[in-house]
Parts: sequence; C-alpha cells; structure tokens
Amino acid sequence: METAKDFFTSSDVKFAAIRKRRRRTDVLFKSLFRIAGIVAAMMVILIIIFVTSRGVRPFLGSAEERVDLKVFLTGSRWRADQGIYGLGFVIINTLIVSVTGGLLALPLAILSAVLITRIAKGKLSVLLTTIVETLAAIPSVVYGVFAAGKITVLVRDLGNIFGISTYGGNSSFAVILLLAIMTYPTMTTLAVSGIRAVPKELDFASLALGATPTQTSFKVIVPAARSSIATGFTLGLGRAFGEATAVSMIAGNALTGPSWNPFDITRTLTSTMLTGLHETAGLDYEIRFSVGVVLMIVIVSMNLLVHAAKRRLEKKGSAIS
Amino acid sequence: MTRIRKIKDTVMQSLTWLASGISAWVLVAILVFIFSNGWKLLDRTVLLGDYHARNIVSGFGDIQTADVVFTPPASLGDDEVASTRYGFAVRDEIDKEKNHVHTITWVDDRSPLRNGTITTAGPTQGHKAPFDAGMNINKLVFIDASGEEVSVGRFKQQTPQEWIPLLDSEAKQIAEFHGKVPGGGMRGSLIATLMLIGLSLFFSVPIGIFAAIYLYAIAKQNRLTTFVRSSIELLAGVPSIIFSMMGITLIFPIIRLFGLSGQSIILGSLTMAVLLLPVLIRQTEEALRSVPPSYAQASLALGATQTETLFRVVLPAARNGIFSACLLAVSRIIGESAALIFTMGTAIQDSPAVTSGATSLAVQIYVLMGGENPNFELASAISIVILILVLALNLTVKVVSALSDKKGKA
Repeated sequence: METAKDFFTSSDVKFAAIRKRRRRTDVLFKSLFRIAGIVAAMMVILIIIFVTSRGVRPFLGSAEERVDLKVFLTGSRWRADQGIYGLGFVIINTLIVSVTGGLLALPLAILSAVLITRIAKGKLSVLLTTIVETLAAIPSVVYGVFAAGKITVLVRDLGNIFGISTYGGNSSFAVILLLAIMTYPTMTTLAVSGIRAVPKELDFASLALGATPTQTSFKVIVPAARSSIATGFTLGLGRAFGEATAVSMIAGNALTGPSWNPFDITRTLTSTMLTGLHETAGLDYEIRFSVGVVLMIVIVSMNLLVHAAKRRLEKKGSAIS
Repeated sequence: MTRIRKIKDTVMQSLTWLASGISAWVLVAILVFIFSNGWKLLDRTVLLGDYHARNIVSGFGDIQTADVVFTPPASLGDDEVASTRYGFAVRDEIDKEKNHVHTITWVDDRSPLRNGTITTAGPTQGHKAPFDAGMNINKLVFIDASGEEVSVGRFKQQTPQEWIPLLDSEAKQIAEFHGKVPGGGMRGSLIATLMLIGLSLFFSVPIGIFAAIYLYAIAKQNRLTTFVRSSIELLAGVPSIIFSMMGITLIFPIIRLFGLSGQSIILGSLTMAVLLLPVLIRQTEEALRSVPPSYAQASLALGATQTETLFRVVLPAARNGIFSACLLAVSRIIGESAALIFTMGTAIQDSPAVTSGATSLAVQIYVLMGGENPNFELASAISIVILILVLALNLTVKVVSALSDKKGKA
C-alpha cells in the first residue's frame, strides 16, 4: 500500500521526468526555429557566393575559351554567334531605360499619393488605392503581353508621326514606358504610407500659419515623407533593373550600342540573360552568370547611391528645421 | 487667399487627378487589351486541352456499318454538314495556321467511327482512338460496294458538302480515319502550376513560419538578429532572374545527389521556395505580432511550456495572417516567370511530371510571346486565367484581413 510519503516522492519523480522532457522539447524547437532563421538569412549570401563563383568562370578558363574581362565590361558589341561578349553598352542601356522609367513614374507616384491621402475622401480614396494595388498584383508576363501588343504599337505610330521607322515599336522608349508603368505601384504604395506616417502636428502647424491645404501637402507633407519616397524609388528601380520577361519581349535585343535614339532597339542585362535559351552548355550559357553578377553589382551600387542621396537630403532637411 | 495662390492650388490639384487618371487608364487599357484578345478563345478545349496537336490514324477492322440512320441535332448550323449514316457533322474552318480544316462539331454516341483503334506504331498502338467534337478530319478511307478502297476528305481538297454525301451513299465499311486533335491548350501548364504551388509551399512554409517564430519569439536585440533581418530584407530585393541562376548553381547540385538531373518541377519549386521566404517570413511575423501578448502570458501562467504556448495558443491565434501569407505566396508563384525559365525549362508539356521540366502558365505565356510570330490570342487567354487567379487571391487576402480586424475589434 502506498503511503502518503511514497506518493509524493513518486509523483515528484514523475513530474521531474515530465519537466525534463518538456524542457527538452522547448530546447529542440528553439534550435529548429533558430536554424530556420539562420538558413533564411544565409540564402542571400549563398546566392552571391554561388552565382559569382560561376560567373567568374568565363574569365578564368583556358585561353581559347576565355573572355577578356575588360572587353566584357566596356565592349560595345554583343555577338554570341561570333564569340564577342561586350557588355559595356548593355550596362549603359539598362541604366538609361531603368532610371528614365523610374524618373517618369516618380512624379506620377507622388501626385497620386497626395490625391489618395490628402484630397480624395472615403470611397474614392479606396478606389484609387485599389487601382494601385491591382497594378501591383499584375504579373510581369501579363505586362509583357500588353507591352508587346499595345505599347510597341503606340511607339511605332508615334515614330511614324515623326517619320522615324522603328523595329515594329520594339525600342528603348517602349521599355521605358513599360518600366514606368511597372514601377509606379511600388513607388505609390511607399509614398502613401510615408505620407500617412507624417505627424499631424506638421499639418496643423502649416495650416495655422495660413498655408492652403494644397500648399501644405506639397511644401510640408511630401518633403517630410521624402525618406519613404526615396525608399519607394529604390525599390522601384530594383524592380526595373531586375525585370526580365516583360522587358525581353519588347527590347529587340540590339547587337551593338549604346544607342541614344529612344526609337532604336535596345538590350538590357536581363534580356541578354534570356536570349538563346536553348543552349545549356558552353560559353554562351556560362556567360549568363557573369551578366547576372553584373546585374547584382548594378543593383547594389544603385541602392548605395540612392541611400547616399537620401542621407544628404535628410541632412539638408535637418539643417532647415 | 490670393488669386494666384488659388490658381496654383487648382493646377497642383488637377495634376494629382491627372496622375491618378493615367494610372486608372493604364489599368483599364491592360484589362481591355487582355480580355479582348483572349476572351473569345477561352473555352473548355483551350482551358483543358493539350498544347501539342496530335495526329490520329485509326483502323476499324471488319466492323460492318449497321443500317442505322442518325438524326443530327436541330442546333446544327447551315455551315455544318452531317453524315446521317455515321452520326457526325463537320464544319469547314480556318485554323490558327490559316489552313482550312474540317472540324467535327457533333458526334452521336453510337457512331461507328467511335470504335476505331490506333494503328500507328508506338506505345498507344491498339488503344481506343478518339473521335470527338473539336477534332479535325483530314481523310476517311472506306470500302465501297465493289470492294474498292475509296479515300475522301480534306486532303483531296474536297469540301464537306462534297465528301460527306459521297461517304453516306457509297460506303459499305469504314477502313481508316486520319485526323488531328488540335493543340493550343493550357492543361499541361495548369497542372504543372498546381504541382509547383504544392511543392513550393511544402518546402517553403515550414521554414518561413519557423524563421518568423525565431524573429518573433527567440531573437534578441543583437547584431545577429540585425544581420538576419537585413539579410532577409536583401533577399526580397533580389531580382527573380537571379533566383533562377541560384537554382542552377546552388540547388541543382544538391538535388543531383538524389538522382535528379536537368530542369524539373522539383528544381523550380525549390527555387521558388527560397524566393518566397521573405514574403512568408514578413507576413507571418506580422501576424504573430498582432496576437495580444496576454494570450501567451496566460498560457505560460497556466503552466504550458513555451512550445505548447506557441503551437497551441499563438500560432492558432495568428492563423488568419499565416493563411494570408500562404495565399500571397501562391499568387506570387502563379505570376512568376523569370525564376522558372532556367530551372523548369521552356518546353511546354501536356502531361507534366515533377521530376522533369515543364512550363507554368506564366512561362507558357513567355514561350508563346517569343519567336517571330507571337501567339497573342493564346497568351492573352492564359493571361486572363492568371489575372483572375491572382486578383481573386489578393481579394481573399483583403477579405480575410478585414474579417480578422472586425473580430479583433469585437
């Protein structure tokens, strides 16, 4: 027969065992969570390491298979069929179309954000937000189909008016328009949330000083939200640089460049990566990874540049206030 | 307010309207373009049909034609010619390659032409041959009263009005049928997309949720956490075509250890799994943070362990947010193209398998738009499907979050 004392000791042992097991589960799961977090964090580093190590191969290979790095970075001809890989003009073209597209979208995004947050009320504001969200949700291939069917036709007709013949509308100009459309939602969303986060006091102070609501919006609120707007601009540019399928449908893949004529065909880093997909071996295939490395470098440097500009803006802003 | 100020304000205000007007106009233009090009094409055969056309040659053995007279349905149009002895009707049409084809528009269930077996050598030899509405008839061989073989049909440049009466009056027995199951469908890509969604979520969701729990519950305010956060932030900014490159250089060698080689849906979904991590982690962490801390405190105070609290209290309370995160991930998978072009390839498959390459719907659009003559109609039809799916998913996310907001307030 169990005495009271026995009962307590035995259950103490039982509880101790349970507690130990529970602690072990806690520790196990905690380490699982930690591993998942670190794996997720490692991915970006792994991407950089693996893509770069593959991307440098064409410059290190045997003499007859080697691509000259200087030619690669500064060249103005891309003739995969002749083994000439000059990416220099492609980098310039990419910068031109992406930055121009982004700069075209930025004022539209800021203006729309002001309308959504400060002028339109109730249902209308919701409707305008929905339009922006829908544009953001449309996948890039669908934009590509639209661009190939409508934007190029528009550009071709515009070219005809000026007496410029185009390659069926495939041109830098078409790519710029497409990228402006595709970056607009990102920039608008960020501008809207930036404007919403501006403290009400600024608004009230400006109005109390006698400024009109419109003056307040553009002279006080938008400048106060510049940090978010700059972030939106960077994100938009990132999308513009990295956009592949839609751009490659209308870029026209020029073989030489850079071309300063907006009605001329162009070639971007991403459209270069997507050409001649049927190869799965050889230099023609390997060179894509090198182009990918260049794309990553371009995006990172663009980010740093905008970041630096943002810092300077902020410094200027604090000097004024 | 001075007059000049008033004018300036009006100008600025009109500019904001103009900017939003442009975006609305662009959205309408996209929708009108896609729907006007693809809507008329989008029917059952396109949605659920094969992409690749298939030629059929079938034989009929000694099957004699019974003396049945079939009555064609009253709904047949004037341009459709019916064979009352063999129970089918055809129409002269122009196909996508601008050729005349004789398309079957009606087949009676008891039609003797349904009893053919495939005669071309290959794995399907001896199988029952299809003879259905939507197929094209190129040639029919029959045996007439004198025992001679007679060939009729489109390949002899005959119109249906010429060869069908001939068939009805002369034929004693059908010998051979040459036809085509027309392609241009999206079923294969639809199936591949579903496989891709399932596998990507299977690989991605557990890691995403666990990583979010790490950031929410375990990570301390230190440099490691800052590093983890900014790395995930960076991952979100990596263009999808770079993920494609990662799939080839990093994941491909790993799955090769398991005996898989080449482009495959597995490779594509593992690549997508990495691509989806930032979305999943960010959304899940946000959902976890929206759970009131008192829930976890109450559970811990009642003696539950941390693991029990997480899995039985916090995660269930955040389930709406996590569900939304998964839906956003699905919508991203459906729309993704660049990350899949290198990892899954660009060969459109009619019966995809997870261990071999295939195209998702988005990649099929990309393939159709390539080359000299882009197929706008089919690309737009697939775009409609993608748009409907993606917009419906986004709408569901909004509804779910609106519902849980309401519940939170109550």
